[in-house]
Amino acid sequence: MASAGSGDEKAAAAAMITLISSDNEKFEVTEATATLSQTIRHMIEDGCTDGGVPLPNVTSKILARVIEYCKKHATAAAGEEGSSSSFSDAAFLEVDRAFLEELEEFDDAFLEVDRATLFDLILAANYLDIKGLLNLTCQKVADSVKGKTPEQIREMYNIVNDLTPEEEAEIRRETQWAFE
Amino acid sequence: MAPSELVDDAVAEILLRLPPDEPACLVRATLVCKPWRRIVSDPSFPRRYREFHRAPPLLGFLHNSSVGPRFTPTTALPCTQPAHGYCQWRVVDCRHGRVLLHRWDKHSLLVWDPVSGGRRRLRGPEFLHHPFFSGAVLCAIDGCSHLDCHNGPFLVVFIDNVYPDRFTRAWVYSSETAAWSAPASARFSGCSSYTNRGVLVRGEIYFTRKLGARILKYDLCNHCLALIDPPPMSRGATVLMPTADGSLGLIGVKGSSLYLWSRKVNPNLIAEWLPYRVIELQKLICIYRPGTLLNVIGFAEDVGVIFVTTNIGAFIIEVNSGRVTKIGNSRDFNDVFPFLSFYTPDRGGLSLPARFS
Repeated sequence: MASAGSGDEKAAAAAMITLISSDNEKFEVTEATATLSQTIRHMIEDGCTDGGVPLPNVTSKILARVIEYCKKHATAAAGEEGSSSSFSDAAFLEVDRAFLEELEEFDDAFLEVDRATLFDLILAANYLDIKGLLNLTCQKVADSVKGKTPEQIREMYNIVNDLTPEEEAEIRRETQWAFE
Repeated sequence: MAPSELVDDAVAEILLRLPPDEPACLVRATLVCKPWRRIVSDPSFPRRYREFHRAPPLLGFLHNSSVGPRFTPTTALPCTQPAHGYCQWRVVDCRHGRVLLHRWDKHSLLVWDPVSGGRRRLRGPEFLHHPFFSGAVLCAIDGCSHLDCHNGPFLVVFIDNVYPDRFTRAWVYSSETAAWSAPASARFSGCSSYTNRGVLVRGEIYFTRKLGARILKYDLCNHCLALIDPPPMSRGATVLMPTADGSLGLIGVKGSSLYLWSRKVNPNLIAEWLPYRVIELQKLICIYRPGTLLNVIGFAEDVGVIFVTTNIGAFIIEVNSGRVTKIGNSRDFNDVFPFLSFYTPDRGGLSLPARFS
């Protein structure tokens, strides 16, 4: 209860930040949402956000998805702060658990995108320095790569093999154990 | 945007997340294309990879078989088994990426790094031929994270019992000085051999024999020995372990359940054993039947893996997933030494030392 109240007050009192995508679309977000990005957090700290934050590397399509992620996780972060003092309260723990499950479901659904979008999200998360989003998206790719042969990985992600046949043969010889 | 346009930083972030308990994944990634190979081959990548994963994974385990020490990988590794001249050695301990082996008839100890293949033989002192002993190997660096200390200085602790005087003695070897310390010595009544693997907890190494017997404590800082009482459990095998919060822990067996105990200091500053977890194996897996003799032979809590023997075989149990893998017949496994280490593509070797008799 105290946590929900203070969270709302914080959100209401928070300054709004304007993010501008590469195709010049403007997005109004709360500071709490925007500062999940370390890049934007530093810009706010340096007072460089008047007139909006241009993000020339992020399209409006991807920025909308990134903001969707940040909004959800900023709420989660506010909830965690508020509930930490009530740690021993079983009811609060139950709420936390339900919320974490909801967050996990959100993340799973969020990753239901095509490969090109997933890669664009990785690039945006890397550029904006959003740790949670970078972890989520990179782990998804890493999980898809882990049981695969180099040929399968290249095919999955459209990667051109620029190793010469000689180089490839030599590496395979040295690391035969990894291909058995 | 074509996926191949991922910048190197982003590819590195993906490759950092390949699982360390399957080193072949990272090796295969080096064969995808030149940029991926360049990223993994960069000297800073293995360090970042280890720091990202924070704790070394389980790569396999060692045990003493009838034909000598055996290393059994739990994942694909460039591993070979020894040829001959090896069966006289016995694995005594394994910690911080190093394995300690003992050869009684040659009065020798051997510290072996399975990942680099490096080894160092410690010969000489008369006490090394004593048949009843325990030993431990550990990294010698204070405050080390043990992510990559394989090539650094190490200590070896050697414990023996002298009959009929019943003195228990402890020596410490330092790789930096290449010398053994003078012994710490204490006289304990009813104290015989300490044959199980030692457990390192906050600068103290603990050894035990069987349930009900008192536990031997060797204090590295003060170079002294003491006995402590075990938890109040009536029967069954027992294994010591470090708990996740850095206390001394112990696993006891009762029926089909594993009882985990932790030794904590209470508000009156008295250390006491507290039960903190019960793992019901019958629920977890169907390897237990009434009347089965269940034994814990090894445990790596960091990675949530328990090694047990029952009358139908020896098994690895992954506690969190409940996955069970049979590793052989129970009679071949008296003790198991989990081997935890990173194996990144910058490492070579990973083979058992051949013919070092």
